[in-house]
Amino acid sequence: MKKEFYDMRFRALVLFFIMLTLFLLIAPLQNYAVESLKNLERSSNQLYEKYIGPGYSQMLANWSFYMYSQWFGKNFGQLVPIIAIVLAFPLFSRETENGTMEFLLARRSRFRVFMSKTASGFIVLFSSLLLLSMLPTLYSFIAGKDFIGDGVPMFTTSVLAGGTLWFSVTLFFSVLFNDQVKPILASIGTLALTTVLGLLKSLSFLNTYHYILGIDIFNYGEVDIPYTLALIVISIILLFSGYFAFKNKEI
Amino acid sequence: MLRVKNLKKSYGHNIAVDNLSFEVKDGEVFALLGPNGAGKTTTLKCILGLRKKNAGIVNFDGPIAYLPEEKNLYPSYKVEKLITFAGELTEGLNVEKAISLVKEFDIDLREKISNLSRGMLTLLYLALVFSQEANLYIMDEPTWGLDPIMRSQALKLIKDLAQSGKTILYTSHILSEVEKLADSIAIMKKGKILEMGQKDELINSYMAVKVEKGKKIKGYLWKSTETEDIYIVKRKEELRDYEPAPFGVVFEAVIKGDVQ
Repeated sequence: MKKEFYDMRFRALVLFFIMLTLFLLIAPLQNYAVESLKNLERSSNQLYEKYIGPGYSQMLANWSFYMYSQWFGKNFGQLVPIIAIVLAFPLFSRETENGTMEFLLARRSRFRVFMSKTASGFIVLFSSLLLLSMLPTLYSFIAGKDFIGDGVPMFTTSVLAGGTLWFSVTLFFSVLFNDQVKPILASIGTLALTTVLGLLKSLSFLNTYHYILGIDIFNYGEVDIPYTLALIVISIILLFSGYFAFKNKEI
Repeated sequence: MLRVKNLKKSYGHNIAVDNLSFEVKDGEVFALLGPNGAGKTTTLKCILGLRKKNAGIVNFDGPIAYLPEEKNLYPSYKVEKLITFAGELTEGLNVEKAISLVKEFDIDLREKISNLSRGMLTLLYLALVFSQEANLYIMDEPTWGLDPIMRSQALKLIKDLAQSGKTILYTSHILSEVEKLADSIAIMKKGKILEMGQKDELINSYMAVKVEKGKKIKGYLWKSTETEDIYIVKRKEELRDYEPAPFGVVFEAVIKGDVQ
């Protein structure tokens, strides 16, 4: 597993620092965001009234709401599937593309190689997502802001379950394909397709962003438990399918 | 002992290994010979489980050290890092021995794998294989990409391994190497074993026969002089006037498949 962490270190660190930078760009800009919205409100902008609604600037002036909506409900949330895809796509496909899978499989059983790659990938994914989920709390503590962290566990649950799904989807593609480009394209394609199809009312369940961004948490104050379970079950099925494909893959 | 029985492997309609059976006894050096596409690498990969066989039985117990045909290693690693990871991944790998062999091969431990030449990659891979305590050593083209000096270094190590009683199954295109190292040989073509046996017996089972220039006999025409043609034929009691045939010519004759 040490080798897997070593292989992932660069990607994980780059992703983390990009996300940290993004957070540090968002967090200090609360006053600017609130002022901009107030100006729009004052100008009676029709689009603003239609899509955002009156009083939103007032809500955004609340630090906790600002953090939840701009971090979990927007920037971080939107990038969760991308983080999962970037961490998962080369796990198997890079070894196959570089011809090093032989090196591994001549030394370890397929089960151990699969478990080692999958487990280390999940450890890095969960560590990154947990750390990024904690940023509002940590920043508020350091900056002396009053942050009500009651919602953090719910948003973190959404982020972890959504991340797990997209990690599993990409891992499956990573096993299936023999080069590194196809797993990325297939995963991004699936993400785009499910998101677009999810815009149709009858297929709205396909849009995982609705869940990952925590829309239900904002609306009803709770995580959608059946959806969480569904994502976990689908992830487990994908992981089993990935293992089955790997077990029978010709090297 | 490695036992391979009725091994079959095909890719769609293309039969890569066709009902192959052979045994490698403990302590034996067994060479699989054949032209490109004969099915040697596929056979080795089926034994290792890297390729899924369609039929047949492979029996072997214990750890196997493997040197693949394509010596691909992690390009972003440094040599020392690779050896460390290999030590963690490989059962019975002696890291100190691997490092000492790499130094012996004059490879810098701090060098990045991507900067190594083909020959150096082969030597590094060989260092990992030779440092592993295994019951069977499978090597696919072990001297691939090596210059003559490096090749003799590698051959010496294979010879030492063989002399220490290890079982070795390997493939090679270089017949002189096979002649020096192998105890038993199997000659493959189109997924089948055409000839197999102890090296000396196999070589002695063919002979070179001189015939009058232009006279046709069943066999493989090896060379012609001004007055006579020399054919390679399967040894027969009734043939008296013959010469021993060089191994390379016997191999060529078997592959061409026109000896009697």
